Amino acid sequence: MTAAYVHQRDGVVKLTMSASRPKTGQRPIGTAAGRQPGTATRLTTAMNPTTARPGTRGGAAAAGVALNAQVTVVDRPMTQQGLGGMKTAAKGMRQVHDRTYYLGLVRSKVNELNSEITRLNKEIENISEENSSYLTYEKRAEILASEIKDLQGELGDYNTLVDKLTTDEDIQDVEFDLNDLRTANEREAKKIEDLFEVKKKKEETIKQLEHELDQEKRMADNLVNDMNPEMRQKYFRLKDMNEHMLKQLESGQQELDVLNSKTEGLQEELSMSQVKQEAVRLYEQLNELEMKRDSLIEEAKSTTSPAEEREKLLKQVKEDNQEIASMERQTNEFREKTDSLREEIHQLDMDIEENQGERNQKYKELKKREETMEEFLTTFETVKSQEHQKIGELEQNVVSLLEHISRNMGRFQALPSQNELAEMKEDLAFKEGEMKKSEYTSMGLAHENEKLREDLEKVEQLEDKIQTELAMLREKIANMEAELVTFRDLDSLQRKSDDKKQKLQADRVILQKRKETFKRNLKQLNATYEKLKSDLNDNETYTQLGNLERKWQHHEQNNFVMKDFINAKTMECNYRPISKRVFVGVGEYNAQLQSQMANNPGV
Amino acid sequence: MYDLAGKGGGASIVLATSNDQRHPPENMLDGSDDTFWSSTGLFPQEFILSFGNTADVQKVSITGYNIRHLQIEKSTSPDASSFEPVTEKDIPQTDGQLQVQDIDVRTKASYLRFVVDAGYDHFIAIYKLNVSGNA
Repeated sequence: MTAAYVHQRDGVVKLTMSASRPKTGQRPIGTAAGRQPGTATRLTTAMNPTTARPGTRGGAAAAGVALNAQVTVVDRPMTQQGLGGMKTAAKGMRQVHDRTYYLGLVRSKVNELNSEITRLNKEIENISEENSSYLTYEKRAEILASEIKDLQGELGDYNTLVDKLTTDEDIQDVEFDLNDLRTANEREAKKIEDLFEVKKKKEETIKQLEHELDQEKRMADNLVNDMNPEMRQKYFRLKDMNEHMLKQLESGQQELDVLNSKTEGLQEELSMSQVKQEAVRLYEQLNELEMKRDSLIEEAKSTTSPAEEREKLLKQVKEDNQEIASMERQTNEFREKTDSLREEIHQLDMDIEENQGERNQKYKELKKREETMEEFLTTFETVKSQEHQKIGELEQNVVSLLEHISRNMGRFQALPSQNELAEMKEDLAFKEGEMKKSEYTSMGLAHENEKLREDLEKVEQLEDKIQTELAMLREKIANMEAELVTFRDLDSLQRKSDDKKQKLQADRVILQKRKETFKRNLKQLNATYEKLKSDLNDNETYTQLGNLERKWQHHEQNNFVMKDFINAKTMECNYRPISKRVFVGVGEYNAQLQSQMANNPGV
Repeated sequence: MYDLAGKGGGASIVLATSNDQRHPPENMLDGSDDTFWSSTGLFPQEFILSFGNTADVQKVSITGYNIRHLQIEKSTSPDASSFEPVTEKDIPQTDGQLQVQDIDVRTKASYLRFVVDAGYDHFIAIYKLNVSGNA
């Protein structure tokens, strides 16, 4: 390819190349490098497809440049990159390849192989050992895993126990739970047993069915055996055919499956690429068109000669034309008819409108008149009576007015003069002023009256008080007078006081004496008490008793504290009131629900 | 022989373990059955009778109420101390009536101590005390 390109670009080079080409191009590589000193030949060797080096590297453009500048090409150190150089490089460093050298090489390799083999052997041994140990370890791991499972179960039990303890649950609750679980377990066990029985039954039935099947088979065999030879042969033949068909069916099914999967795969592929879809579409079009073409060809085949066809067609056309003409005529007739009818209708409408307009107006007017007359007739009586009443009232009014006027006429003669009127007016004003004044005074008097009444009440109260005071004072006076009698007799008083004094003094003496004796007695008693006390303290049993008492006290105290604690705990743990409350609440709720349900059972 | 505890006998009560203002211990020596000395609760109750000098006591006659057991002790020392028991007596219960009891003593004493260490009720009363003997 590169060579052809060069030829097109440069005519001069073309000439030189064409001169040397046929010879060098077909020569082997090694000889070309050694014998041909020409630059042109060198280039061709470089261009040779077998070497492929410069061509691939430089590409087409590079080759072109090189050809244009010929002098530079000569200077190039082509030997280094040429094939001659390659040859020397490929050869080994040693010039003499004798037997011992190779022996040594082989030995070293053998040694290496041996060492490698031993290494691999060791590795294998290690692995087998590890394998064996791995097995034992696995076993142990399994054992340990089972142990861990057991221990975990135990731990769970303990945890639940601790939970119960910490939540202060009653042992009754725990027992209750236990019973629940036990009953549930029993139920499950029963279920399992039932299932097992069912399974057994099923197995039995299966066995029975198998047995029956065997019997049937045997019966069939017997039947076959009993048949005459022709029938038997036919039977066998049919049997073989059946088997054969079955096999075929199976294989066909498999094939179908394979094809289905294939089509699916292909369809997927199709959906992936647009080009293929396009192709499918085109194929479909092609199919359609082909079908069309086929049908057309068939038609063409079926048709008779063109002349007959033409006649036929002409006939058909004529018939059609005739038919069309008759149809048009008919339509025209119908159209005319409809037009005439329409006109008639229009005229009739006009007549009706004209007649109705005039008559309607008259009729309406007459009706209005009739209505007004009827109204007048119906309301005439009432209106008449109303008018009569009005007339009566007016007459009465006139009479009363006339009476009034006549009375006033009578009075007119007795009226006073203007001066007199003025005097009378003055009088009136004066008297009115007087009246107002007297009213004021009466109001003031009423006020005063109230005040005085209040005063009177107060005075009465005071009187009551004074009377009670008077009674008290009288009592006091009586007392004082009584006392006066006693106090008048001073001597007797003196005597009395003296007596009292003496008595009190005597008492004092006695009491002092008593005090002394008391003191003495007390001292003695104290002494005896002290003595007894010391005796008691010396007594061993007393001390022991004391110690015991103290101990007892301590115990009692402990007891009390414990009792308190127990009481508190029992109070804490007492769930009965709560449970009672809950039960009551549930009962109420149930009752409410029931009543609701009873009230509107639809909900 | 005369009543050492009567008026003018010189005897006096120098100690009584109860002292109600309305019923002082002197009421025992006033010779009247209407007044009395009353205890103010609890037992034993006691009172000490002083004769002033050593006297020859023959018989003690006591009128009281609700007394169950009575001890009599004597002392001859000038101050009322170092008493020695003389006699003791159970007195039967009387319902609604006063107990009247004569007790023979026959001893010389300057002080007589009467100890009531049990009664038929919470309170006892002594109405009258007669001590017959020679000064």
